[in-house]
Amino acid sequence: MTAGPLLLIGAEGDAGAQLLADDMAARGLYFTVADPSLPDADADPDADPPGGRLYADQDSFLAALISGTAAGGPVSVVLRRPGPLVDAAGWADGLLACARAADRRGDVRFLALTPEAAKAAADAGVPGAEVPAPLPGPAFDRRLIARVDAGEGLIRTPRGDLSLAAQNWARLRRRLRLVPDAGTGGDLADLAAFASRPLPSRALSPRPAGQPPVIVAVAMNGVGLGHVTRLLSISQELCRQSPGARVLFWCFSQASGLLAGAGFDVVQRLTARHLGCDYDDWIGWEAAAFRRFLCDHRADAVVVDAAEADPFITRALAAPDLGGTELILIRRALWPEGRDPALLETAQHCSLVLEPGDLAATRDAGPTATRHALLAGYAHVLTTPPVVLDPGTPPLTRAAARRALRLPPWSRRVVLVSLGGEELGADAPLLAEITTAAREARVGLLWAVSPLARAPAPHLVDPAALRRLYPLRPVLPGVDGLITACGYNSVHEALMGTDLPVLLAPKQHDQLDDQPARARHAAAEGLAMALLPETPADRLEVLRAFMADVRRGARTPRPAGENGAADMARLILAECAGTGAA
Amino acid sequence: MTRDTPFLSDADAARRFAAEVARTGPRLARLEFEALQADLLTPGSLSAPQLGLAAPAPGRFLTVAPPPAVPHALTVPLGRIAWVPRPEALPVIAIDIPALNEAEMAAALLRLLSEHHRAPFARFLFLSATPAPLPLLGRYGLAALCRGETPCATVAMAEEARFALSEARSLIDAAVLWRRAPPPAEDLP
Repeated sequence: MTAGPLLLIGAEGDAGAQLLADDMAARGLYFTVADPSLPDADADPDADPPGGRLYADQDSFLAALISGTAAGGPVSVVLRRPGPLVDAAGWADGLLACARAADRRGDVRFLALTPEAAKAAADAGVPGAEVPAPLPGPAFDRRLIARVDAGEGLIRTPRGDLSLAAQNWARLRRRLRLVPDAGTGGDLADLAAFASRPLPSRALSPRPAGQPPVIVAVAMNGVGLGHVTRLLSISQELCRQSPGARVLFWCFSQASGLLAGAGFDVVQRLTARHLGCDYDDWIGWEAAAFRRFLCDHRADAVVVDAAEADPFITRALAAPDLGGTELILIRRALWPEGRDPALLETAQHCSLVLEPGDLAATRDAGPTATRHALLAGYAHVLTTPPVVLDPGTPPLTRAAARRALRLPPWSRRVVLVSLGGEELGADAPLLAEITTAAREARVGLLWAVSPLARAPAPHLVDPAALRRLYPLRPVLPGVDGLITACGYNSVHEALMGTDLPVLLAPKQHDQLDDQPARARHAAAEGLAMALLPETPADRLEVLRAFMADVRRGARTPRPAGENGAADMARLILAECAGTGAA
Repeated sequence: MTRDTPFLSDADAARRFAAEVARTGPRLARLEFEALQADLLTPGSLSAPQLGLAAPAPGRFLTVAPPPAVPHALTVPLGRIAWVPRPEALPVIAIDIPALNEAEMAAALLRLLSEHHRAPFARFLFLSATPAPLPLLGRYGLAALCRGETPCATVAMAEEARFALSEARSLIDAAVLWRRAPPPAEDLP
């Protein structure tokens, strides 16, 4: 191939373009990538790239000739064999058209992925296509051997299957040697052969040894703080374990100020739901912007905390120049039983799926515990201890915590009520019952509201008793009891290493985790009391019993446990260095 | 009327539904606007939430270089505090929110959003120098981004194609900070 800076032209999603880009990167060639389907300044025919243009297939070259963008400068064209749906006569005509154009221009060089592809082109009347020599690889090829099952449209690895159509082949070839099933010919056989060529070690460790990684964390929250909190905890650990590592947040949450306040650079984004716009249009824009961002910052990995990797992420990572960027999914378990198990299939795009441990893991009846992804690919699925946010400062004393809560040091017993998200005003009967039980026990109440949420109406909650708090853990020494919703972060923050009375108030919603299961587990293990949905009539009695515990200063020592953020950070850094579990 | 005839024809049902929406929309917008007023007058609603973590220097808000244009611009919401029959007919204007103290920001937002509730004239994309107003604006369905230290005009230019922005104005005095270039003369009919 030509040396020096050149322009690679190939459609996103084209495996040939992905492999060629990766091969050039491994050779240390400088190149940029254009997509022939999008208007792009890089395709300016008046600005010929010094190293010329490399078309990943003959159709892209022909399209450029027709549109006039294949102007001056040297051109290389990779002649591809037809796929199963391509008309053979049309394919041959296309090759001959390329040959005629080459004769007219005099500066066109033909390439092929394999000797078989070069022979097929010669047989069709276009001889002389060169096959780039493979690079030297390691003495021992550690890649797994995977079968390409063209009939089913799958790649079958020892660890699980992948959809053939949904992959970045540059990322695949770092882990897999692809062997087509017998009878597979044409372009697919050539792609598998090219991908299976020896891989130089510098292709496996994209960043020079010792250079800290760049990680882009995607926070998908629109309203709540759950995903942001976990990502924040893990990002703090990443920076602690790898000084100089950069974690950049691509943030859809309105909590972006919290991330910047913690010292992280942030790109603020809006979801299709925020905008009320067409989802397909939104994916187009978001994928294009995300791809450019990842390229500009040479990201080693994308880490996303969600049930699945949103399609804009997988679409961006299909770009030819992002084959070296890993995708790591942080997937909290304890889904409701009825949650769609198809969400598990996102694993086929990931090198790692990391599940933060849950105190209620033994009660998990959701798909992450009971089902396996049909298309798990080569992803390792690993569970760590629970992940909680570490303030990084020593715990507050009781006096300091009460000052932070604007409580006088000598006041009566106080319970902090934190019912999560926007929901503080949503269950008015519960608020009334809490108020009644507290009044009867002569216990004071403070109502915690998320920094993102609307304050409840004054007739539901006294505005003087409202506190905007995040996170809660630092101020817990200043209160005598906690009533909390049962989201992942709330429960683990409340129950790991604390000893004050805790009452759990789970919510039930298809899109939330299985909060009743978490509450039942905590109650059964004696870690907390719980308002269980199956016994709504007992609610006031449970509240009275809880307030009585608070009144008498009861304490329930609970083990602190290990913070799984450290393990997650170690695993992510190993993946970035090319030494990970995968 | 027999069992086989519908209670209402499809056209009648559609007309009644449209009439109901036209009656309900403004009422809902009024309720949302009253909630916004109360929110803006609540101390702390425009304060940037403090983490209380051991934080080094604060992070920056980065701007993304405009990607290659995608065929369709994205819609921008009207916000729940206003109602018009066809919000897509209103132009999209970027509103610059500079770094202000809480009281100044609340007063300026109340002025603009009161007018927006009373007589909507545009759909807004707020470009704020700080993240402080984002949660409040988001609660009422208004689109807002934090631009950090990048000038509003620079961000507006970068986002012009994505949101079909026509201009950018200051929240403080409505001064025009940027305006979309007119199409070349040869493109005009």
